[in-house]
Amino acid sequence: MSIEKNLVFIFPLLPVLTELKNHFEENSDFVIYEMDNLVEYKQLIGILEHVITFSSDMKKTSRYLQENKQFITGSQSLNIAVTKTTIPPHTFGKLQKFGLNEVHKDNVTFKSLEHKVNNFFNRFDAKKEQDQVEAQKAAMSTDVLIMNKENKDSNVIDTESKQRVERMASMDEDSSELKRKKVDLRGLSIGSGSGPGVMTGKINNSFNPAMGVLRKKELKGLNLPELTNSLKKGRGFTPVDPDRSYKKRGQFQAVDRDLQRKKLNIPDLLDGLKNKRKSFTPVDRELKRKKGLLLDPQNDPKKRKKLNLPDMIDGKPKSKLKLEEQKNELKRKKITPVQRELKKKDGRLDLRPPDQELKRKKLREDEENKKKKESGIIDLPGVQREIERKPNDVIGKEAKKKKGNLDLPGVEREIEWNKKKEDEEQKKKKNNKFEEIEIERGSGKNKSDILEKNYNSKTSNFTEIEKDSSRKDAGFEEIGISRDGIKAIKSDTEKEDYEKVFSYDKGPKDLGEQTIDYSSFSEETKAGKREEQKEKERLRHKAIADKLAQTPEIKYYYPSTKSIENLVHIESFLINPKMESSQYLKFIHFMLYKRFKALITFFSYRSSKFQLLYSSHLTEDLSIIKVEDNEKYVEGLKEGLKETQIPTWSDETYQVELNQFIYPYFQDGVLLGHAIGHFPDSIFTHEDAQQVEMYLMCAKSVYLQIQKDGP
Amino acid sequence: MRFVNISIDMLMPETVLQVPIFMYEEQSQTRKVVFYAGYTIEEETYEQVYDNASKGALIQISYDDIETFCKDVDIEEDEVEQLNEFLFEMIEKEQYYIDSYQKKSEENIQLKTFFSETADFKQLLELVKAQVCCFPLTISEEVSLTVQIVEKLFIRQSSPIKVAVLAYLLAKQDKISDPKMLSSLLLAGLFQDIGLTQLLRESAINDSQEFDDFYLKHPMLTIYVLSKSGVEFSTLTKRIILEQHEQLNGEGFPRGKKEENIHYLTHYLRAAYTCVYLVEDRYNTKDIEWIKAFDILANERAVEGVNTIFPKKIKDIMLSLKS
Repeated sequence: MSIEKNLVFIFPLLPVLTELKNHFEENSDFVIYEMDNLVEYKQLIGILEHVITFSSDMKKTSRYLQENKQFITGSQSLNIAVTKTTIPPHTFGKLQKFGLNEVHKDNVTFKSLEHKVNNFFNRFDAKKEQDQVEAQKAAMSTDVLIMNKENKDSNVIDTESKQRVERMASMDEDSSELKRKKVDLRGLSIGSGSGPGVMTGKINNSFNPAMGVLRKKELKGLNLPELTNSLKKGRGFTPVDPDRSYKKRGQFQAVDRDLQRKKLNIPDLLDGLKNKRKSFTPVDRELKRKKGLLLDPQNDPKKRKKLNLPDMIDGKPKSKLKLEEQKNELKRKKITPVQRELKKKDGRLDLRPPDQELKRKKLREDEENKKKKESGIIDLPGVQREIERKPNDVIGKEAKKKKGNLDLPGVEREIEWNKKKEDEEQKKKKNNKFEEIEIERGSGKNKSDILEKNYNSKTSNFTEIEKDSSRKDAGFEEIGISRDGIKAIKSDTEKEDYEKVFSYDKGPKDLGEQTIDYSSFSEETKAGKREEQKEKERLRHKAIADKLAQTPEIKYYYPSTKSIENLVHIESFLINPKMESSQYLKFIHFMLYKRFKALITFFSYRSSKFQLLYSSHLTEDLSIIKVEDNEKYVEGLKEGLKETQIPTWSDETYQVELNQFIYPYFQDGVLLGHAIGHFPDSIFTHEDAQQVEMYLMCAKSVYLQIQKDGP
Repeated sequence: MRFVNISIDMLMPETVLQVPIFMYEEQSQTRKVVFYAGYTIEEETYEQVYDNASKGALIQISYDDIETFCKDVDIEEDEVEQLNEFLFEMIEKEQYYIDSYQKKSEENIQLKTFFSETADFKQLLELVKAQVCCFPLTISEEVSLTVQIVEKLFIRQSSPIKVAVLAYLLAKQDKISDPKMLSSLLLAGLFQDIGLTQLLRESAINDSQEFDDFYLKHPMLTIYVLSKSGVEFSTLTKRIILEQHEQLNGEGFPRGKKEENIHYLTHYLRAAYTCVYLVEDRYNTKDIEWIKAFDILANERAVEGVNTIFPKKIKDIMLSLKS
């Protein structure tokens, strides 16, 4: 069964998101939520497990992220915003803190979004499938275990359950009824798991006292005191403060969701229970460890064949042995902590051979020494090592001294000291070994776990805690996990994943809770050290602030171009010989129309007559001037023009709705003509008026030419 | 370092903030810290700052401290954004320009090979546009104006645009990289001949004084027309426009300036429009290609009606382009 795939779309949506929504609406695997109101979103998001939220409106995005930060910051949800404009980096940074994962511009392709969606959910699907397989295996082995135990105690064999065990052993997955029964049985007898689903089951049961009693009784009946103890320890069967244990593991969300589901009567409890089975393994392992390998299918070759379990050599599976060999190989290649220290101190490359080779070298040296002793030559291994350790110039002198002195008791001390040092190193190595095993185990988690680890540090904390808790009963699990780990590095991409995790595990360790030494704390407070520190910090900030104040003010400039760029077009039109005069005038009108919605008519004055050069009054709708006959109106415009000898606005205060402007053209006192313009509520300032004048001025060239050549 | 304005009402006396608060006085252009981070805002100081703020002093915080400050005083960041609307808009705009043009601006076009092989001016236009759009918007009004004009205009290949682009590239060849100077050169190149609109069109088309006596005054007429635009141009821009026809030997117009009296940027503009006009046949010189035009300028070859006397610097650049 695949996971519930929820997609939330917060309206308004850009076309690409609408397309995406429509696409997924057709797909029955996805549940689409369309949200207008963020309150609805708030109510919904708490109950959705895996969800991708899409939004376009940045204000809404910001709000929903801030309001639902607690639900959407985990790895189980993805928040994608698709916007028209580019978001400034500081805003994106801010939103990222609230949980925004990705921002795309509206030119993002539908396919890439679709791919993101599928990729996101596939991850969980894969994880779930793997968990289910693991849980089935675990459940199967525990059931076998329980059944055998019952046989021992009561000697009554239930044929039905025998069949069940057999079927389970043969991995009969089709018997769903059986599965359900298995779950019930487990619920009564043994708790399970370490995953989030298991946690919820545990909590639910602990809230039910009857269940708790039953469970205890069952466990007592099974005579498994160690098991019950381990359960109490490992599974946290403490009904005192369940939330605390949850918080520790960073799984409070899961509880929340399940509780809400209960309230909402969502009928997926059964699925939830199935999921819980997935983390049965620690108990299983505990049992095996405590009770020996009596009931272990590993010891029965037939069962082993049936279950496809690995072959065993000296109680260890073959694969484990191989793995251990590989681990050893790795360790050999690694630089020892001592070498690392030396590197740091010297600050240069350490070219000495690795540890194993040193040992071999030492052996060789010993053999040589023996030979030399036999042949009467005295060699001093301690001195030799000293020579190796010290820089060349010092080496020669000191070695010579020591060799020259032949202080044998001193040499013996040197040898002893060397031995001690070697022992210490070996001890250290042992410790390292443990760490390295831990690293290996970490790498052995399934792939989705690996990805999730990188995806969300919170989850990784959780797995680390889990690792620690199961450290004692490691043994068996190590093999399985390590095997997977080795498998994972076969292909290149998988190798990358492996390396990621490897480097991650090597990274800064989670120190967990740190104990505060209150006695020293109070001492420091009394001594005023803390105040001093605070004061120092403040002074430091003060100095920074003073320095900041000295930085000059950064001022941004972004003046209006006032459409001045149009002058370049006018200029290029003017010098273009192919451009006719009327076209040039039309272009000037077009510029004024674009900027001021102006209507312009140009008249030339030649031989005491006005001649029409170009008129937009003839072609445009003159309803704003309340004129019906355009031609008559244009003819009428000529009247009284001759008297206008300076640029004149009908209203110099630019208050009227329709302002008329007359611009006369003169050359050496000779009237060349006029331009008349009507401006419907578009001129407000002297600056606007001046711009109009500037554009009309540019027509003078044409008037001069007409004066010379005639129209 | 950027600072953003905040309202004095956002602060409360007897509180401790985690960020320092500055006061900036625009008249004296001085800034000082009025409240240090981690110290209590004292009532008395607060009153003084309040007085100054009411007199016009700006209360500011560092741009990087916005988030912490808003948390401290429990306000939405939007409130600070509203107070600094222009600043945020500009930051956004600057980012937009960088996102859109930075990659292109880093492209390298070898002018020599460009003119000898493709000579598709569109490529040069795009390159210059990208470079200019990456100028910071904090230098001067004219630089920001140039950025806007270039972004709008440099999509077509008209004659004034070609002149401006070539002048810019020649200056860049000479390792001039000051955005202020380059902006002036570009604007002068774009608007240099707008004064021709006040002359007989014939004279404007042929760029000659043969038809109109006023032709020699067209640089001044350009300044006159531009004065009506409502846009303030820098002195350098106006000077380049006025000196565009001045010559090293003092035979130019309108003032007959000589050598040192002519701004050196003017020569780039003159060289650029001479080349463009030669190629565009405005001097009635047919079939002249870019390389030949560069050759004419580099070797001071005689062309009727064209002054080919240029400073050595320009000639060297021309020589490098033609060879």
